[in-house]
Amino acid sequence: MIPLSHYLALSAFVFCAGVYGLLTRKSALSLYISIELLFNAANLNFIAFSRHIAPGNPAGQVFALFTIAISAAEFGVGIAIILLLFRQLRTVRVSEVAAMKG
Amino acid sequence: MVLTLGPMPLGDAVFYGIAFLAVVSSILVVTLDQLFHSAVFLALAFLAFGMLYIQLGANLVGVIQVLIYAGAVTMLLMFVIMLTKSQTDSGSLGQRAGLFASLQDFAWHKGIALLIAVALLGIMLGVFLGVPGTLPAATWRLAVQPDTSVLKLADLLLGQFVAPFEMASVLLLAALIGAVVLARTDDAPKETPAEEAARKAEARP
Repeated sequence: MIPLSHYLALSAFVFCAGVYGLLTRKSALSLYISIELLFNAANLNFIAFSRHIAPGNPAGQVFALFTIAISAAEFGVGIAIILLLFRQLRTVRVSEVAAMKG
Repeated sequence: MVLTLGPMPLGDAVFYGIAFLAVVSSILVVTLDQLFHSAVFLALAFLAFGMLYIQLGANLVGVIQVLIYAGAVTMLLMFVIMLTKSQTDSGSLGQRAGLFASLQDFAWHKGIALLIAVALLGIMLGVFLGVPGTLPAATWRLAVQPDTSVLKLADLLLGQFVAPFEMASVLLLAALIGAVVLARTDDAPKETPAEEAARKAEARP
């Protein structure tokens, strides 16, 4: 038997690693990687709570599935934006993309 | 008979092993300077999370996690890392900067970021560790039993949650079209004056 709190603690560790990455990384790709960590930490919470509160009813898993679908959509558009950025400015470092010219 | 590993049942030991893997690989993801190494450890973290989902009884979500995150997202990420020629996060080129170059140039803003992350972790642990309840560890069955959780999930997705399900498909379609429109190169090769003259001469009877 594993306490529910250990699952939540694990997701908190991963979430905070993602927050640290979001605050320190310079490349836009690294920021995306950190965001994916945040999504996964949230998903683990959804599934652990679903398992704890309603073991026979997988409604919590539906939320995790929607999170995965939405993050895939977000990832596709974000990658396209990063490619566009690289084509226009020859860099993906967010500190060098301070000015948005039309 | 319950299989044991030392003092704890094997199912619990498996959980703590996977949890250790997930924590270590996610810390490596945000500290390694080479973006490609970062992406590989991200795949490892995704796999660890997929194992946790399966261990929690969410088999379908675990499989989808491996397919979409560990497969598609990581592959796309590696392609874009190569396409944009961004080898390292710190901007230094190649291996000379060392494995943990992003930690070596320790700046004050990284200290603040670390402080914020640790404070957030403290708050979250303070809340989460008080949450009661236990979850059953994975059981080790020899006989293969039919998995009914996928059937229930299908009932939910196409019953109670059918409207968000359809909206998610519209969202995915919109994202697909948006990504194509954004990434498209619309600089068609311009025709040279000679070609233009030839085309005009051809059009004239």
